[in-house]
Amino acid sequence: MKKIEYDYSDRDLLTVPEKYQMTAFEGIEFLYSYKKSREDVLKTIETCQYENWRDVVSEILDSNKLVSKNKMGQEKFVTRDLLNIIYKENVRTLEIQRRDLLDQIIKKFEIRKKIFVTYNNQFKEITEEYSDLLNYLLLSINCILAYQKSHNLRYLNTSLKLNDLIISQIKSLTEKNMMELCKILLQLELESIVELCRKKGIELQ
Amino acid sequence: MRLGIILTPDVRSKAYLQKIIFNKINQDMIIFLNDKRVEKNYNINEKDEAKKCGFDISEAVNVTLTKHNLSFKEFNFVDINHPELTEYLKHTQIDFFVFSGGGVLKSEVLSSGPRFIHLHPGITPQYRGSTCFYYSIINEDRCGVTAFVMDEGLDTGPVIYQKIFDKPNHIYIDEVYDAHIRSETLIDVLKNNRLEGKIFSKKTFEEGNTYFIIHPVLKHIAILNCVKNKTEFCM
Repeated sequence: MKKIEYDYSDRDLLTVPEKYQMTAFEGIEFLYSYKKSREDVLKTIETCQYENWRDVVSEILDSNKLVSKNKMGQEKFVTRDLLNIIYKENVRTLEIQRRDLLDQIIKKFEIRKKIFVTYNNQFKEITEEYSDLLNYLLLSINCILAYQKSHNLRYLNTSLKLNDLIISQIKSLTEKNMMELCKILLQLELESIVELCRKKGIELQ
Repeated sequence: MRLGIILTPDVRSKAYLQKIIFNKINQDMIIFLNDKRVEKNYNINEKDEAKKCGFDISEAVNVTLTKHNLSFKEFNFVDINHPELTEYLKHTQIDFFVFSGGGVLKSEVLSSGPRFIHLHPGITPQYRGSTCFYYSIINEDRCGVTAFVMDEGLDTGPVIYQKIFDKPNHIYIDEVYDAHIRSETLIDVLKNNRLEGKIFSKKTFEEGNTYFIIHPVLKHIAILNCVKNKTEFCM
């Protein structure tokens, strides 16, 4: 039997984006391989010092105060600030807040496979800079939060792609709290996938 | 009303064309956008499932056209927005073209004269965008098709007809199931004259979801959701 490898995060996805077009069906072995791949990454990250993952995200956001004077509705904004605002409005509520804005950023990522550091108020990128990994982490946590609230697969779908990209850059995650956020994301993603599989009668090893 | 079809060298066009011929539905004009790509080889299971769905997946579009002595206009590209095609369409006197390919139509081609019908594998506005059938199979164990008149938006045109299908009991969703449910809906539209005498005005979608290409993990969950023995398909 052919050995199936989960290789969607093996190459540098910031430089060479993955389009995920017409991907091959490889049987249940593929899902086993995906789960093992994520678990292998999780093993390489030290245990979180926080009991509640929300505390980790809060600390990251507190240490990255809004870097822009531009607030919502202005001519341009810093993506990190926007993701920060979306997160803070979503973390303690039952309904998805700022859904239109979240969906706009998701659309930008899904089309370009990059998150630019700044956009104008028409959501057009106004910089060439897209390598700030915190933006990818924050968008992914916002997607996971939205999925937990809505069970809308479009959010889990984008989070899976973002997490592939983040793993492909894991050596560049030098700050401890960013590594912890990465660990939280992968744990939440894996829990969501295992639960979805269980609902569909698919037993993951 | 004059009807035409714009074909491309892919499975969807094969299913559309073969079912139109089988159902003896007249087409006033056939346009074939043919980039002369190499035909894909299909395995025996794909061929069998396609046959059960009423089409021969291994028969190329140009073979079907020739076999049935159908006259057609051929272009050597597949881009629906190509200026050469736009210019040609201006003189066709066709009311509706069924377009089997994908992509968003630019204003030049939209204003060339005929209107364009697309078969989208999802019930709009809940399922707009890409690979919707997979999401629908996970969410609802079924999938719908929306026939609509194309406009400049993504799956936002006025709806002609919507039809629901059970999820398949096989794994060939991209190649067989997608082509099957779209072609069945097309035949339903054409056989039942659902275009005749209708004014399709713009429908705006304020709600709903736009989906993007499905991640392979979710795709595997969707496909395995279609089969009874989940571990049978070890590659």
